[in-house]
Amino acid sequence: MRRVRKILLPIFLICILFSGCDFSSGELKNRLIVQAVGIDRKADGGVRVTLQTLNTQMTGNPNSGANPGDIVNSLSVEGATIAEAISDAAKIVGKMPLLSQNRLLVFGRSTAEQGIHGYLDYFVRNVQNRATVLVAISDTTAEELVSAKMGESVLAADSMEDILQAERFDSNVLSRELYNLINTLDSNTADSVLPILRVSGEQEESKIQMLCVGVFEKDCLRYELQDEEITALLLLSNEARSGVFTVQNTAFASETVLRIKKCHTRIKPAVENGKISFHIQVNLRLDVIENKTDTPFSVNEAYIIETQNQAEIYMTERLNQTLFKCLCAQQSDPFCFGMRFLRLHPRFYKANITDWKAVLPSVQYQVETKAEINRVGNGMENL
Amino acid sequence: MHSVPKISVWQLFAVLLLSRLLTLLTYTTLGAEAMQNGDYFPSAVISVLFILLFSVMLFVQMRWFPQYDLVDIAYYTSPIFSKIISVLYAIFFLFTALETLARLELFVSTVIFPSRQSAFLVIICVVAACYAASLGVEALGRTGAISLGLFVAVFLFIMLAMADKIDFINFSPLLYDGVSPSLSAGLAAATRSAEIMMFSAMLPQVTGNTKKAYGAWLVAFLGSSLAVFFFVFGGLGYFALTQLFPIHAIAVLSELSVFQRFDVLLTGIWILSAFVKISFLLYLVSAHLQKSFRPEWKTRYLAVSGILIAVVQIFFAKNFSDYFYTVGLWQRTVFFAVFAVALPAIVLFAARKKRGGNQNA
Repeated sequence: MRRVRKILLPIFLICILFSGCDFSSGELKNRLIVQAVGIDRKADGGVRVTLQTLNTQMTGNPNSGANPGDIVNSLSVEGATIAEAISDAAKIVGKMPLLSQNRLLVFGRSTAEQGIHGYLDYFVRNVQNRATVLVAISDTTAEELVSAKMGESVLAADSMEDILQAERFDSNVLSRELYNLINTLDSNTADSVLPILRVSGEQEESKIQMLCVGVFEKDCLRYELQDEEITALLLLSNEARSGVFTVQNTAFASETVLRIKKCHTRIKPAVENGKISFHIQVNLRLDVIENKTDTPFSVNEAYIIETQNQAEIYMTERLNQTLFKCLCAQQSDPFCFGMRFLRLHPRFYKANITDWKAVLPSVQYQVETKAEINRVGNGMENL
Repeated sequence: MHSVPKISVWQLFAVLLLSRLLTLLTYTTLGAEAMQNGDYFPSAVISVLFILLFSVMLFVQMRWFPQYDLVDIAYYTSPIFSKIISVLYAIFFLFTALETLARLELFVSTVIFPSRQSAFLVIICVVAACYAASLGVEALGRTGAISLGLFVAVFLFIMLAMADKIDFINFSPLLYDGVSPSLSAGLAAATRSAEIMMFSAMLPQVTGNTKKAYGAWLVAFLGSSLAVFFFVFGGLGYFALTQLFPIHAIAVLSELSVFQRFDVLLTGIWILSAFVKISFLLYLVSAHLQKSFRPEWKTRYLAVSGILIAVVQIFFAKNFSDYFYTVGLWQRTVFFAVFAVALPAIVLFAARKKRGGNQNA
């Protein structure tokens, strides 16, 4: 009896534990593997959802000899809610959507201007959707961006994800994940920011690029930050990791191109004479990557000191301009200064501030940039 | 006279820490009082203070009757009283096992298999737990120690993998809305610490310095709670509180090179910890009933307990298992205090009186 039990037990365990794929919900090729989701608000209050999905016929058997089409397909569906629209998509293609592989969530510009809060619950509640999915705004409609084709064998969502993740080496690019967005969207002491993407070019060979960064008030898109303002935003949020900028020299080269090797921003909120102030210190470690000149010169200490000074002046000016634009002109806080202030001065905040945005124009700030050139590249003699 | 199976006090420490960490990790905001994430840090300290308060009778038991559990001690007063105490604590441990199973089932049916029936998992889990409990306390002690090692290794790996995602602006100020939310949360956490009663029940079956082990358990619990809150709120900020299982949500942030989706790893150790905890609780149910009723019916007690919690969880979850999500804090505190303080106080003082004030029974 004991021997029979010893034989039967492993068979029973194998049956229940190593059952493999669950065929009731279909094999992978029978799932609608979503790569990007686009959300556009309709005039009647409903929503148009565009799904960029993997063509599983092609990815499953690319050498079959048949013509299965492009690697990605797109599909637009409408409904009163996102859940309704996505379940309609399942009815149309006869496959169950799988959101766990979703890389990107896109809102159309008009939708972003009218408010995105109501469209986020589905993605927070759905356990398939990851909190780290990237969120962006399309310069036109989400449908146009999500259904863009970048070549028959190019995963468009993958490319868009790469474009946004260029933040690692380009300080003019910003990316936001879903959980970051929700943290600032529901905050009274910060404003959300999202990258705005533009699609251009031929229908079958579109090009996608990051246009600018949109700043929200509550959940509505209000204004934009361009190029160097994005660098300033990243520096002021302590998110800048790399990037390139050009400074004008006077005594040596006409222009020097510098690459940010490392940067760290210290933001110290304080209350001075009853007024809120922020002391911002940006430490930059830079490499010279190019200098442009009509008169050749040897790279020496004087050149390095002058370039460092110019870099400090340049960056301080940009930071001050961006701070003025956001805090004073727009009464907006995309740098999360309010969150920092609240954390360090909770009693003052509780006693004196009811609306952080109203306080922003009177906030004092002092920017100090310290630049240090680490490397000048391989050439000692300027050519 | 038959010998009582014994384990090292550090094996018991491992099982109890694993049990408490499971309760911490399966913390859900469902039914909890809303509070800012900064209040969770003082609440962890307050919960330890409340646990110390609820452990007063355990300390008295350790001093007066260090080699006996409450069922043995009650026997000094009267055999019937001992039987009543054993049944009451068997019910308490059964209820705690049911609550653990309910949380596991909620987690599995919401996060892992949202579109599947979880009855099969409940049955498998209960069958495995009954089998493990039938192997005895030595096997459970060894499994607990190995599982704790695995748990700590996995958790450290996840924490390290998400260390670069920590941002201090995600923390709200400490005690911004006063001390009241932290007090409530601390008390709520303390009332989920059935380990006090588990420790008390295991006193006759452990070798080693029990006071040292209990102190180490409290310190380890406090340290783990603070570390978990630091990583959860530093990484996810407010978003963590929008999730049904906030602590599980951090695993999605963890990435290390090509290693991604650590949530699967975390899910694995949760299920392992739940298995160890449910097994240990079922063992305690059976041990209590064996002491006062027929000792040779160990397998029957385990089978009946297992069937009971599986049936309740599968068919009557709305009525029983949801108790801890819907009942108010004060009712829960009273329920907990009865088993942690009131009943032990009655048993200990009655036995002490009966023994005529002897220090060592």
